[in-house]
Amino acid sequence: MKKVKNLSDEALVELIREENQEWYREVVKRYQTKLMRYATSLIDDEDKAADVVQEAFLKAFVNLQGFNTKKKFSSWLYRIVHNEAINYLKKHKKEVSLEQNQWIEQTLKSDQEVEKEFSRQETKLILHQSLKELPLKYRSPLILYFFEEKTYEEISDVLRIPLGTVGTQINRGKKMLKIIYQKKGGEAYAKN
Amino acid sequence: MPKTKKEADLSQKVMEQIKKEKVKMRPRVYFLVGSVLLGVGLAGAILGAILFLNLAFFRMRIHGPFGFLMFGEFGFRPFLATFPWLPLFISLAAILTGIILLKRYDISYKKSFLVLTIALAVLVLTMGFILDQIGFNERLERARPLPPFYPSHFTNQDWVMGEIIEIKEEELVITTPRGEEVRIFRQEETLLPFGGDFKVGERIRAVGEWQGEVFVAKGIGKGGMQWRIPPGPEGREKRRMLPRF
Repeated sequence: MKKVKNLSDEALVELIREENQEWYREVVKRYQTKLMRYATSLIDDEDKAADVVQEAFLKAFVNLQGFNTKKKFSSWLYRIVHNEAINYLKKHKKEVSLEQNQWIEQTLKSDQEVEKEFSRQETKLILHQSLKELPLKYRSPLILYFFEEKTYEEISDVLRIPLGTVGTQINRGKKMLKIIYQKKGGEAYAKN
Repeated sequence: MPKTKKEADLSQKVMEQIKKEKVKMRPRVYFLVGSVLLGVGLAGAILGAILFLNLAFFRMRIHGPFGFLMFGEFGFRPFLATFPWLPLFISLAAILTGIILLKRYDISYKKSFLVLTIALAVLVLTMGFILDQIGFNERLERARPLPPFYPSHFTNQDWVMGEIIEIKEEELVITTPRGEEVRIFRQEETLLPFGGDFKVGERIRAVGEWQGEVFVAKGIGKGGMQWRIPPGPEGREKRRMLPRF
């Protein structure tokens, strides 16, 4: 078991497929915290997120032979969780999308100085507070980048969007968060 | 982000379900077949789009539907009747299928999808055009006429097409590529968008209506029936030299 713990994700998957399916437990252990955090940030309900992640782990297991070990396993797994979460949200119409909110779009165009004011830490804090109101389109790449510490390329693989779009959505999402936060009053930011 | 309280239970739950054999790993061959089918589907869709677009080009060449629009309102119905709707529709559907299948590949988001879609459309257009230009349809038509797709009729209730074999005072006699002879009656008010100076051997089209055995023309013009390899006796020798399908 000690040997298994030191293996890379991809090597571990190979071992699970070829030798012992019991080692899939190690995959679940490695990723359950991260995936629960990601799913909870999308769904905003820990119990439902747990169901979604569990379902995703089972789906990943069923399709494990289809995973190409030359690619990054974590991106593949996050992709499954992301899809499951999106399906859940669509089914329960839980997402409150602000994509149609004109005030955000209008303020965005006039506020060119916003980005400069934010350090990575400050942005993290604001993400916590205002994330729930952000459209999913911008929320997902922000969570993956700031909380899951994924690279642009990994985010591109998880969300299946071009690299350039990842950058655009992260930048736009950060600006949107700032605007949402300011509209809410901004006391918390001022205190910190 | 808040710490999750469910995480400790997950590995146990997942493994329990797997152990109870409720969940089984799909065999590798399942994914292999899926990826082969995807590849075949994509290739088939692109090939189908090329073939049907080539067919549409061919029918444009033979019936020349836009030429009927020269006759104004009289040419509208013949235009609708001869325009290659079906091949174009099938070709478009095949391109859309190709685009949908292409989305399943990583390249669809690694590269600009718009550029990929345009590249696919350009490929289909170019190959379809080239295939038509090298006489592929003439060869296929000879081997297998495929009636719903290849132009099988050159006379209809309100239009006729063919080659002039005789010119009289108020009458033109044509022969259609199918060998039918048609007498076209020319009136004073007949529209002649290309002029009235016709010669024997010229290919013409006429719109109007049948009065018994005679076709009374409301408009007569040149064009259409541009075979790469001519039909009938003229092209028989050339056709004979072509390989059979």
